[in-house]
Amino acid sequence: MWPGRTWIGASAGLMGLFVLQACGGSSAARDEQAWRLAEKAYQENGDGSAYRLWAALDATGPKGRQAHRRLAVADQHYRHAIDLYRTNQPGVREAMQEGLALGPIDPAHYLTLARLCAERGIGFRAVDFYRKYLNQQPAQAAQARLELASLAGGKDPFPPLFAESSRPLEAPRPSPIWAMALLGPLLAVALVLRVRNRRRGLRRMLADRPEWHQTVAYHLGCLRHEFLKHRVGPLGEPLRAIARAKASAGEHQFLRDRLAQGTPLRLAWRAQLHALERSMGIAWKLDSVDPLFRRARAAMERLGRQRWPIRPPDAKRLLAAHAALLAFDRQLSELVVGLVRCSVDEALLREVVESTRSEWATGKVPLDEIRIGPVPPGVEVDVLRTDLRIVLKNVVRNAVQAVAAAPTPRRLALDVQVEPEPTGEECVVFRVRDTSPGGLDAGGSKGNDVEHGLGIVNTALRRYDGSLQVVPDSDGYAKAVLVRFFHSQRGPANEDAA
Amino acid sequence: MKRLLVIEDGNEYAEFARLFLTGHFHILVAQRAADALACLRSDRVDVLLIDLRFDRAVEADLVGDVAATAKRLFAGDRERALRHLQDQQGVLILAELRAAGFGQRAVFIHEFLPRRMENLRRLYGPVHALPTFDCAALLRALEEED
Repeated sequence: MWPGRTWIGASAGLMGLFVLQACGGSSAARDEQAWRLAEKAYQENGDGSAYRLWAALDATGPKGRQAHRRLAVADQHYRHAIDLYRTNQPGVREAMQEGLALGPIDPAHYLTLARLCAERGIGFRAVDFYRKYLNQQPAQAAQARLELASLAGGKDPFPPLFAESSRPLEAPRPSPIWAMALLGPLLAVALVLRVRNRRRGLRRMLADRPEWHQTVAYHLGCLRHEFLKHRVGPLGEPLRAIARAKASAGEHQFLRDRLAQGTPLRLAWRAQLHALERSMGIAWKLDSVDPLFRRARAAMERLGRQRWPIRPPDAKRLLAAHAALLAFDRQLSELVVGLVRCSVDEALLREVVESTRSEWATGKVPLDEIRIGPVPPGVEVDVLRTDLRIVLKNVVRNAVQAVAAAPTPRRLALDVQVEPEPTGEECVVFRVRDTSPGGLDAGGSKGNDVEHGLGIVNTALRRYDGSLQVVPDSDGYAKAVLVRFFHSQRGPANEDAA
Repeated sequence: MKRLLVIEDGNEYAEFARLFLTGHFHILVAQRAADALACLRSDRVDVLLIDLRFDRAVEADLVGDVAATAKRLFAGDRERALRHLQDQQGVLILAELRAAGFGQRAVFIHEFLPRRMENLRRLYGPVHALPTFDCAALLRALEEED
């Protein structure tokens, strides 16, 4: 059996770690570099193959120590998810996502997951988990292979990240030998390319990688603003004038300045796409594999390939390309809207409090009062629900632990306010109030201490453009922790783009 | 002839205005809030055409406090705060102009969403926006009376 691609990736990463150790250098630099390798493997493969790299990190260095702590906490979430699944309880997906937000899964869990999926008749997922398990060359490989061989639908509760491997292949149907010989290889290549390209399309990748949404939304915003709005947008007027044979010399010059002067159109386009591709860590060109971008590139190339002076028939052809790029702009707008959006309501706050209170340490703190709400109607933030829960749970956990040492009555309140910004935007403020006089050190959120959870909070705040502030409070509460995120922009376009 | 003040960090809006709006407006140009204020104090200006993003503007020219914005909105991330101020600079400049008592109609070439547009009108009075550089629509937006 050939080793899996991700296994090869992990092996290369491990080799990298050994090389790093052998090459010397300062331990801090080695620690940092090893961590980067391990983190990159997780971001790129997103599955158990990265676990080896994380587990191999030196636990005496700060990064390694942090990674091992994250692995331990993530493992609790993964085990919790498996228990929930085993006992047919809801929340499997959420628990898995909480684990994924922290670190890779221990590949040993794949065998358990595969067997549970097989029991429930989710064949393709079971196959997927068996393959991921076998890719790690485990001790029980022979037994797992036997089980895999015996497998031949059900509701799938697992997040997309666990669905990377392909579904089981159907048995090929018999066909004439000559046709197989002639067409088989060609069809196979075409099929492979088609499947590969579909998997490499932006929409598909975004569906599998919600953690990319924020960054991609930003880069698509830049592409729309810099290229489509400023460079391409103003071309319509002069092109229409030329098409009507009524253009002035100034309008010809205006077109020439935008199409033939400065950075060539093709390079400006590529620079924007390159920034997007780099932000996602992909090695292929989106405008080669994604039909949406491929069509836009063709239109852009038509605009960039003209003879001067532009004559009316040419202007009509260029106007069609211009219209295609404006349509592309609208499609990007639709793509971006709703990538990462979470409705905020009292049910979410209650879920956060109940989930935090169900933890052993937090649950045993007696509270005299917990107030939840109010939440204004129609509040939405561009934050993954799982990440928002993680942030709020950490803040609530800290508040409960803080009031544990405070005199009674111990009170806690969680509500939401919407604050207008001078830019016309709005901020959603989650307010966690408590009666503990001891202030939470807001500076602590700059660290990466998983024990206190503030490292995770800080990472999420930076990922989603949020902030955390501690302020003195009134109405019998000693302090309030304010978590701010921008309110989602409703409607047909994304604000980043303009 | 009416006088149009174009406020942008580059020259695309001004070029567009000179080419397509010169027959309708006398064009004035400012590249930062201080220049716009000086122009409004020294010249008669009837309407404002404002770019929203000032990507090329340096921190010293921007309206807004990068450090305070970083702390309040971006978990201390100064770089992100700077980008935010650049991205929203047109509106922040308009806020400065309104604070200084200049209430001229302001037009943006920008696809503001309805909720934000409502907020901008509530905050800054006569504000209009167009999604693209459409000459006829822009002329209507600039020439309409509030």
